[in-house]
Amino acid sequence: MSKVFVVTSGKGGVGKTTATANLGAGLASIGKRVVLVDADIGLRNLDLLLGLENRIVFDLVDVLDKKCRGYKQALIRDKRFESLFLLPAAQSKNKDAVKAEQMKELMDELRKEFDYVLIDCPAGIEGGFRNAIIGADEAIIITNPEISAVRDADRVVGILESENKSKISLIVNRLRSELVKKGQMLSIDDIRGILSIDVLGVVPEDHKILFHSNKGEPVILDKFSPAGDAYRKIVKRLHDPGEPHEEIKQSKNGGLRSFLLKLMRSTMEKLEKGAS
Amino acid sequence: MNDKSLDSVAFKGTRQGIIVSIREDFDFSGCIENLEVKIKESRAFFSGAAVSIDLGWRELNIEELESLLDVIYRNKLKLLGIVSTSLATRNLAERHNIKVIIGRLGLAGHAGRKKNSVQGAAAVPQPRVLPSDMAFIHRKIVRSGTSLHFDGSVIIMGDINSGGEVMARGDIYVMGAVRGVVHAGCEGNEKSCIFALDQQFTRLQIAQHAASEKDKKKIKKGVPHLSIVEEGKIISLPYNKRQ
Repeated sequence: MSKVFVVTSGKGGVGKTTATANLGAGLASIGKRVVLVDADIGLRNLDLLLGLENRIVFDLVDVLDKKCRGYKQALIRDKRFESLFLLPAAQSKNKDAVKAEQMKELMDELRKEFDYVLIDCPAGIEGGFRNAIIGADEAIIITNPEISAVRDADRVVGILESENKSKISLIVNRLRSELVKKGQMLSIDDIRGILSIDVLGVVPEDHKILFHSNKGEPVILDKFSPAGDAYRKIVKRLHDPGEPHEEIKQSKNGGLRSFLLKLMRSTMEKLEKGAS
Repeated sequence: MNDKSLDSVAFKGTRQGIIVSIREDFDFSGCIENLEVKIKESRAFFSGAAVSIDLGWRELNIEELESLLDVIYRNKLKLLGIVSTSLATRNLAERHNIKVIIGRLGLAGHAGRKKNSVQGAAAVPQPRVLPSDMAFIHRKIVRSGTSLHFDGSVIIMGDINSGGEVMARGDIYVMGAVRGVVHAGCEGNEKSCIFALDQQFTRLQIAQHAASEKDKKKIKKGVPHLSIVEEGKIISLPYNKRQ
């Protein structure tokens, strides 16, 4: 059974494109046939994250306008994975260049050929967003642990629900557990409390993401990156929804340090009591 | 405008918006005048609302449709679509890019074209008004960007998120947290109340009274609160069973 996912967020810059590239590479690495569709027409980026910008000949708008022979001519095969393909967005057109029905038709065609279709949705809730969601069965919402991103995600979930996309799951991106501990950042429970949708996974803040994006290599291929690790878990869960849910570990060296801190605090309190 | 034409328009609040039913057997210009009067009377109920217009079997001409659209847009309402059994009306609306639905709700009272007048009068369905001790139940989260209008009291089974909006002619009971806008008694009923398991609203209004920033600061997070109007001011009290 093939599945069409749309990766969306409402707010820009939360990591939709990065997530799409990584999930695509992850699914391809376990042997699935995957196509990534960049629906962010006019602001295409997905090709950069995969390091495929030099290979683009035809794009999504050419396919929809039937300027090339079917979508197959526009597909670009990934350098690393045989079964990963990219359908790039047009850079010189704008988002009005495509119609919703055309997108839906194309998704139905792609569905026949691939196990997974991942659509990288543009930011916002206007026409481009509507075109991106129309052909999808399920939605993956990306959000950051900050109130503006969560509110936008809430709006998007509302729209998706009214469009009868009932299966909606959440990836919380760029979580910094040390800030959550100090109460300076929204926790997973806070976000889940507001959005009340299933959490598919939590990706920690990782400086390596930037480095890998610039290199055109998905971070999921880096075995030593915590973010890559998180994406690998999400891929497992996408592939098999029964996969157990591991909550993100609060801190790697928290055990001994917090114990010592507690001990210090209690002795200080005792000393103060004794003094008074 | 005679007495009769006052009954020529009826409203019903639904989750999707307000249905406006216009009776078919009255003069249309009178109905339109009446509609505008009623919208102005219930400004709070209609403000920014989405409306569907039920025209029944009435055949509209272009001028009539335009006068109707004029009233809707002048009062800053959003038109969802037109409900009609008349093909001519539907075609006309479609040419104006309005969504049409085939049907007739007849909330305004007229029983239909084919029945004779005696039967018709007996079968007049009254506009649906809930008794004051009954309530609508909304079984969904109210997410950011949604605006709900209820023609009576309502129980919301879920949160009202920041950016979401609930207006009701009666009381509002929220089995969850309020983070958005709530307005009870929006027709001016000061006896309405607002109850929530967690009262963290951005705006809380009962009739014409709004809760101030000071009131909001007194409210404890995570504690159920009941807000009522007392001596022209909103007070929010922690809710316990003995009250």
